[in-house]
Amino acid sequence: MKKYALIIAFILRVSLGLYSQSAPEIDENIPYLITFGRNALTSWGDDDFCQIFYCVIPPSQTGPVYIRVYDPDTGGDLDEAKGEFNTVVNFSIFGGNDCWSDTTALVLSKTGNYKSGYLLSSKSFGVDPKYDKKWYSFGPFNPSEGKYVEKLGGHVFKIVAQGISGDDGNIYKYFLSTSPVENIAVEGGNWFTYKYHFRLPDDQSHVSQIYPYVDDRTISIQVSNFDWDNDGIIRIFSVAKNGVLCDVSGENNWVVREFPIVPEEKNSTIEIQFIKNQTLQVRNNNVVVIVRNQYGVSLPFYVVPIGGVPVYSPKIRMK
Amino acid sequence: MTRKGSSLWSHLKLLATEITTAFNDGPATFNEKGNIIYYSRNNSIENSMRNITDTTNKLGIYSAELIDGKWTNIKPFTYNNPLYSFCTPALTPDGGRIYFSSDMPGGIGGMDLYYCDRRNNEWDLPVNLGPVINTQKNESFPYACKYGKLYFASDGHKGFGGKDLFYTQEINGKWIEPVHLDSAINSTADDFGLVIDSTFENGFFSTNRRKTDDIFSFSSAPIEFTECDSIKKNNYCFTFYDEKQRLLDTVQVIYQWDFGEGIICIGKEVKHCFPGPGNYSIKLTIIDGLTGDTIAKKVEYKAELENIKQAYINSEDIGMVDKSMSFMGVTTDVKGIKVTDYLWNFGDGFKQGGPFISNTFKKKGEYMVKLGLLGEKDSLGVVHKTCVMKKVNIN
Repeated sequence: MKKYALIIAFILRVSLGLYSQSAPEIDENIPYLITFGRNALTSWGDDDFCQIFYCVIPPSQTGPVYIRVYDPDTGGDLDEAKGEFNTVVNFSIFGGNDCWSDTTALVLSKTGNYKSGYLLSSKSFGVDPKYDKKWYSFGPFNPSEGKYVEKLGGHVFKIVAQGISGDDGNIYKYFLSTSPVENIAVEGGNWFTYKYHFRLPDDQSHVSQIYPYVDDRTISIQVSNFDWDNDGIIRIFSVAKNGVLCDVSGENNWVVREFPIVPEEKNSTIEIQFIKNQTLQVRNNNVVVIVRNQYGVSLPFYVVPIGGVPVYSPKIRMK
Repeated sequence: MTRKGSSLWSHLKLLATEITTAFNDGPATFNEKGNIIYYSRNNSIENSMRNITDTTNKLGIYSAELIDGKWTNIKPFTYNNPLYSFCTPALTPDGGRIYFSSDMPGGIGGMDLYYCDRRNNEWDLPVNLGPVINTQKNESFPYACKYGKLYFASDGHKGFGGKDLFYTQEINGKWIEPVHLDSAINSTADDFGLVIDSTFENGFFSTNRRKTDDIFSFSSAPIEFTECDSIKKNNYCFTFYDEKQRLLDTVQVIYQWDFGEGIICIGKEVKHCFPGPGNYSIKLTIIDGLTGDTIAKKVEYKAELENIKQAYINSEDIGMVDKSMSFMGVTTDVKGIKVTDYLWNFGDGFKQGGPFISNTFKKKGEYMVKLGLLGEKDSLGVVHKTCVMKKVNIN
């Protein structure tokens, strides 16, 4: 039975890798990423106005790749206006040996050397109808321009989205493509981040989920969430947790809750699930989530969960 | 010869002249009522001159009925054959089987033990007891006890010398390895012809340890069981739970337990009673109470239920004074012991019995009925013992 579960998980992973390569991923049920201008209030749902994502290109991909951004400008009816649109957000792509290292997880935002690596491409977007609800492609990049990391299974690139000015929220998403003009997934590619800034769906019936990966050194995790606005509940699923409730943040504050990790959860993905308030609709809710291990090191959130979506495995006993 | 008092015997008297010949007569066996006798004697008794050295005059088995104080209707056993010996008959207490010894062809060697079952008032074909019991040498003098034990004499099995006394028992259709009666009975001389009372307390056997064939009596030392366990009640009711769930602060998760045959229980901890021992499959489905999604689908748990390894006494718990009560010793769950003896104690010491026994209590009160079991000797010669007890109230 376990063997079948592994096979199913593998198939799931491969199939996700084959047919989708966006961040956020469709199965996460998160509509968009969000980065506010540097003058915004953190109470609007962004604690540092900077989002760092990494993409992994498997060795099998030898042709050029493109990092595409949907709706990179801050304007139009998709983005979150605070008065007149006045925001500029910069997107920078980094490669080279320093774009990712084992200590990267300690650098979550502007407080560290978040722009490490070799700058491959950079572009700032303000209000620009040309890019409103359109895709902008960075690249082409030779995969070897990224840093090859054996344990991550390929070449890594970093993309930093940073609010340069203004106070509006730039709402966008990424796609890792082999084409500059359309979204053609890189087979076996993936995205991950150590700090997830995202926009929740407005529809109360939608449940969003993100997937941190727990390595074999982890004995406990601290789940932190920022500016959840008490919009329902946050739960954790894994092979050993069947919807454990997590403390939730209110307006403009961080809440941290620690959970033990049991042996069977090591080297597996856990799922953090966001269920919106079913009675009171909260619109345009933005949230930031970090999961750290017992050393305070952040765990990566993969948009395509490693090993597949975790399935709770009860331990039946009789007495 | 009849007993006078506890230790004296009356003078010898001939059992009956009508079944006495000038040749060899006996040994004999009687049915339960004592009105039918089977005995061995020489087939030819017509010669007026007795010739006990005539080896052609073989022994045969004969029967007679006691009618109006006289043994009449003397008949030869169906399978007697003048060319071979048929002797030392022994009826089982219920009269349904007769054991005997014979050197007829088809045996293992020498004199072998056989039996015939009685069917439709006729004796079935003789059955050889097989190589576990019979040897190349001689097995004879069977004696069938009330509770299935068969005593016999053999000079083929390992013993002290000459004929020695053994017992065996048919368990689940197979004869157990003969058990050698110890030195309290057997000697280096010939020991044979054992008979014993129904409670196995007193008996007699023949021996030539004093150079002549003599009858010896013996009394069994009472068998004691130092420890008797109360019968533990089998439990088939259990609480099922998810060990992981107990540690979790989780809400709105629906646990659905499928015990088969349409029995579905809902709850994080559920109780279920199975009908009895056996292998069961329990399937757990966990449903997210918020989203309706299935968190875990039909996760199987296999439960193997066994009865407690013990003997049981099946009986009513309450009885009445002067009314017979039935008791049954159930040993199907006593593993590791091939039960050879059932000993029952109704308050007056352990006495030999069988798996089924009746007892009549003469006084009101609370009785602790005990069942002691003896097992076949193991390879080290150790007899395994176990004992259970049950409380019975007599009103």
